[in-house]
Amino acid sequence: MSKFIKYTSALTEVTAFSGNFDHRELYGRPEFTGGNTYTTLACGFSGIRTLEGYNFDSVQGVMLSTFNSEDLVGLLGTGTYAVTAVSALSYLSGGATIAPPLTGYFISPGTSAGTYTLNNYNKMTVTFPTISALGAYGIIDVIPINAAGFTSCSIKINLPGTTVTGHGNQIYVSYE
Amino acid sequence: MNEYSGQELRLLKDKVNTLFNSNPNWKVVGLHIKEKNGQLTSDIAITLIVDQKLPVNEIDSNDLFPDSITIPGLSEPVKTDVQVGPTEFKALGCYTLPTPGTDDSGWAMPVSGSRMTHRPLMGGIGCTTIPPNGYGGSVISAGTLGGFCIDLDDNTIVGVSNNHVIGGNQVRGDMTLTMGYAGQYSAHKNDYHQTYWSILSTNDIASNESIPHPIFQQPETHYPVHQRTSWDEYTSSYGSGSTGLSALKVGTVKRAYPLTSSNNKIDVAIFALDTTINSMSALISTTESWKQYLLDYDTPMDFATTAEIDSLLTTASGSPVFRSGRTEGPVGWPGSDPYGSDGRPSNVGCSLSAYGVTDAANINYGGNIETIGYVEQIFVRGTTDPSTGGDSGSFVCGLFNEGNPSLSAWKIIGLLFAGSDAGNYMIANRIDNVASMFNLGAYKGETLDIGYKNVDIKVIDTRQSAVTARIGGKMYWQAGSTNSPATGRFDT
Repeated sequence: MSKFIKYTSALTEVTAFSGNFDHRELYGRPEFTGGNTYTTLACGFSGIRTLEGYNFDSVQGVMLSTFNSEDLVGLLGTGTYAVTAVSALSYLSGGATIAPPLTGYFISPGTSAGTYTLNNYNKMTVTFPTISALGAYGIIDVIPINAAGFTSCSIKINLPGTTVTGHGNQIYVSYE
Repeated sequence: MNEYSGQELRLLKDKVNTLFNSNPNWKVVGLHIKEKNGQLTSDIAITLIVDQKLPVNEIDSNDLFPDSITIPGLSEPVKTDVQVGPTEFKALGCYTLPTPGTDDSGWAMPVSGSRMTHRPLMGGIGCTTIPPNGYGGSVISAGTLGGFCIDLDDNTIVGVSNNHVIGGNQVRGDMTLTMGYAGQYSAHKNDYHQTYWSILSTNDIASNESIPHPIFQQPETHYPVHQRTSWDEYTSSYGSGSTGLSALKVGTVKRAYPLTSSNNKIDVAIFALDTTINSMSALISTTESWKQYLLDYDTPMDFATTAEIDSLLTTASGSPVFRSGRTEGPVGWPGSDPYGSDGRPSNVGCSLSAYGVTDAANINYGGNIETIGYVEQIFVRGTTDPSTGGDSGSFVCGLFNEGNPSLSAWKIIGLLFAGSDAGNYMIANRIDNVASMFNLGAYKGETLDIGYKNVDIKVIDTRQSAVTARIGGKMYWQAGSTNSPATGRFDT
């Protein structure tokens, strides 16, 4: 563990009061907390989701991937969101190799569709591109990467276009 | 004339609703002006509408309408009346339309204009969603884009029509419909074997349908809104490029107020504008889109207040009423006068007046929804039939303070959704209920965003009765049903 200045503290505060130091793992991987478990997107929308976790202030790249390498129309596949397989990244500590390779699309910092914003140590916001049709699984993995490595958070896409056998649950939609 | 305060009128409305729901043989109950010897009196009466008057000794004692009604909170008993009028009404479904032609040559102004493609959009023109039997199916349909409103949830401009025009007859989650498929959580099954589950999905088809419909599964997710209608385009084809219905897409259905078996007040759905085909500036205009097609009035209209709508009941000879719709074009004052009989086969010089503003009646929707109960409706009478299939969704406008130029103003009073084959009547939802229950405001030419902002969807365990719910501090609207796993629960 190492001492970091808390992102909410000014330098003068840190020198005057040791409690303003933040103790966290040096080069800790970005991690997601359990509060993201039930995050979903609506098929056909460009959804904005703020994801919570740790070590987001050191993130250097964010990849969108799909469960089982599924081609979600409008997201992966060819064109704007063409998929690449990545086995090495320049910022990985010690030149580590990713095996098996990560397959997906790197989104850029920003606020438009298909971008991400690092809000602080605990939060990052992803603006998902519109997914116009679904395959069998309808799951996107968000993979933030820093020098220490990566983890992923799965985003479920609602309303898969598959044949259904019953409608026991209720859909509610918000536009606030 | 007995005069009631707003609070007293609320008590009267509630009593009307209670009476209507207490006896299935009382088919239409409302507040009307009492008649005596065929002449209007000066009294407001709780009125039962019947097909024909019968001698008292031929009426079951349980069906006798009381002579007067005492309501706690009112100082005097309320008078009652029994009047003869239509008691059977139906949602203005496309099945009442004549056989469609193959081109526009049989049309004349003004109805030809109501059925054409309009950009920018405005109220009183045709619109539809997916054809009733799917893209490429054998059925086409027609309805009306009533006008534009502001969705106060996200402060965007939205188009307004009926749930039964663009919302696929979305029903409330706890409404069990058994016709044809007993035990199924059926949302709606119409005469063409299509089952709708959610306005948010076009490709969600019940597995037990005898006729599966992969034709619904086009590269679109939400219910689309087309202008002009599939009926007027003479095709159910999805098409591509500049052909077919996809080229007429102007929006996607954003939410529909679900129907239920009784005490319905509104049949409304809204759509977000979509710029896939047309740009925002082509779709919406701050100087044109608040207008009603062929209503000669150049001031953006407010929604009439509750008191203003209530006042129509006691306006001498009824208040002038106008509406513009896809099938009959402009109807009522002043729309009729400029056009006369040219192209107006059924409603030459039709003059409209509101004679009931809080009536309760049963409305036949067909399919497995069949007949459901409505309360607090505006009844409008015409000198000829004022509406027919395809006019559903029209905004109904009323002229207030007609004789006072400084105060005179047209305002939107209702949303047309039903009519009668038996007489010259149409029924509209009160716009105060539409606005308050669906969180809408009048659009008067403001420059606002279109489309969607922050959309979030939750799937809740089991079928729910609540039309709205607060989940995680946000307000959610019921939007159909699914077999997807639950992803959230109500705040409790």
